[in-house]
Amino acid sequence: MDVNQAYLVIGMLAPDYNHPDQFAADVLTEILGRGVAPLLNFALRGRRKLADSLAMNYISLKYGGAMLIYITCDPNLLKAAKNETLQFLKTTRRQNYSKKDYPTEDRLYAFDFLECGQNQIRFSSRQSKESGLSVATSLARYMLLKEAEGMGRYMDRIEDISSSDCRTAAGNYLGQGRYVIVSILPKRK
Amino acid sequence: MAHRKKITLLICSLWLYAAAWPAISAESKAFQPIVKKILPNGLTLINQRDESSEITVLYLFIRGGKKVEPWEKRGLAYLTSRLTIEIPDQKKAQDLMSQASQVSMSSRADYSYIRIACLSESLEDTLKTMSKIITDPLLSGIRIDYVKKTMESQKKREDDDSLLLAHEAHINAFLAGTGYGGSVLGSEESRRNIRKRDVEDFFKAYYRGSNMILTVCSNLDEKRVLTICSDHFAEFPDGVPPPIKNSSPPVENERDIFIEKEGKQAVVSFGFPLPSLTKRHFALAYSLETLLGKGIGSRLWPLRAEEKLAYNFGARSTQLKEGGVIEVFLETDNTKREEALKALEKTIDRLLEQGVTEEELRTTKVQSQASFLRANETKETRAFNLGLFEVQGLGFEFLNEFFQEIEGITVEDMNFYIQKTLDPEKRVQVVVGSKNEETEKNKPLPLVQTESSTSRPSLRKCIS
Repeated sequence: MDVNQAYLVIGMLAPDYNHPDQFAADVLTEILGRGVAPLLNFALRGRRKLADSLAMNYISLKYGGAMLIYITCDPNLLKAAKNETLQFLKTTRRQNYSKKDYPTEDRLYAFDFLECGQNQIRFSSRQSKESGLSVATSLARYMLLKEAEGMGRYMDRIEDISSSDCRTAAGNYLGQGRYVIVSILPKRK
Repeated sequence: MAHRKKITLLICSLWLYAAAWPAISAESKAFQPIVKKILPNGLTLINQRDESSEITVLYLFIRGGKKVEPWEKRGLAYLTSRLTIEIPDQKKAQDLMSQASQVSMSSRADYSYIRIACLSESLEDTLKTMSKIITDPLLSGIRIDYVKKTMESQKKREDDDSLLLAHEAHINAFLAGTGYGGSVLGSEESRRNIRKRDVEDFFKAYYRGSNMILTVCSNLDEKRVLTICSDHFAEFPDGVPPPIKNSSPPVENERDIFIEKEGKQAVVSFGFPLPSLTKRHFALAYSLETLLGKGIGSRLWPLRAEEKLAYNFGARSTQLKEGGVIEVFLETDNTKREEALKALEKTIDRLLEQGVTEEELRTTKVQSQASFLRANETKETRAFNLGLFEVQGLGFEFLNEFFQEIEGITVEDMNFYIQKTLDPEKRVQVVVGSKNEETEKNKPLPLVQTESSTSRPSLRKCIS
């Protein structure tokens, strides 16, 4: 296409709106692809700067869901960025997301990605209360899509998510090797 | 047919709704009380308590944007602001992450800004970390080079967006030569010209208490916000920046601009210059923007809904301290480009000939007020606009005064403004699209490759 940058989207199937894994998927999305320095940032911009920007999104619908990773990068680095991301996704089922995953003596130096993801969701949840349209959209989605009983309060469920839940969800959805990868490259001149 | 009936019914309901909805009176205030204080170092603090959520949003506006940069060093204001939020070590980044605090920045024509948003209980800790970085940033050569590279890739991404390309062309057509032209990200050459010394000088000159405005929207009480902000932003020295020297080269005004971009879609647009910013001009331009291209019932709406000439349309006003631009645009298929352009021209000409009626103005006013209310519903946009109005000289009070200004517009005022603004003599046309529309029409679909190198079959598309 007539573009200057390379655009890469990696899509994976994810839990639907009524699936119990949806809360872990929400937390994982925050940990991996959002905030000041998400985990994907370390993978793609840690040693080599493979990506110029990255973002992650999770959509949950009635009969299915999708997790999407968006990356923009130098066209020459597209292949490396893609490989690095896929490699990283395969490790997500083994990552230590919480301080509690480390022996007590190492916890002082460990970073709690789980707490960070949960806090980010708390921020978004509070922020969404400011907009009438956003509250209405959430309610409408809930009333239209909800089937499972006893889902409880959203924030309570998020706070109950453990590092182990994140690893299980990562294993089920991110590390299976079932990806749709779309690359848009600048036209050859 | 049924679809058309539904749309007609919807438009009628909107008109009835508009007529029935009482406007916000001059005396009433649409928003919560706002307090302004000047800190000992001259920093203006504007605070609004809002208990709708337990988060705090803070904007630090710096009176120093594209306008004050030397022409050969465009991008300097953006680069400096970006460096003031570069987190120097991993520990600080982790602190901010665990508090779920967000930090971002940008630079515009008249100003630059830093945005901080956090859970209200983390405000003190967040500012403790961030204020140290902002007031004493590490302006090293390595960091400067890193940010320059980031700016380069950001500029490339922006250039991939046809609407942004058209917008930049309009701004350049009317405002180049005034210091407002060009991108805030500069050009490859201008970025190369920026040295470490330039960044240090810019920081020293513009990051001064009396040259900055801090706006806060929080559920925390006013006294607490004042104490926290006074504690953490007292480090900025007082003083005023040097006077602005306009170093922009004069430019020849092109009236008909074509930007080549291959693809099936095109953007067709017209731009018109706006006068210097005043409360009155802001309200008039906002109303004209609504009248022309904001949603159902706007003048451009039939071009999409009835004539099927666009998949998107809009009007956009860019109101700067010393001038501005209003644009109307259609995003359309390349093959309909000429037709869309003619229809857009006809729509503007019709408005010039007929003007607005009392009834249409009434609807426009209600829609403008509703759109302004909605746009300022969240702390995020309200904190931004409070600072924007203050930094552009309208005063933070304009957040409430806007409604009064809109109410004060008469049919005569609006029609006079339309005649003056949409004058065909001043019009600039910008088209972004492929050179040969027929080639694009008959072009095969992009190449699609599939691969199956992963452990399970997957679909990989490579479009080039």
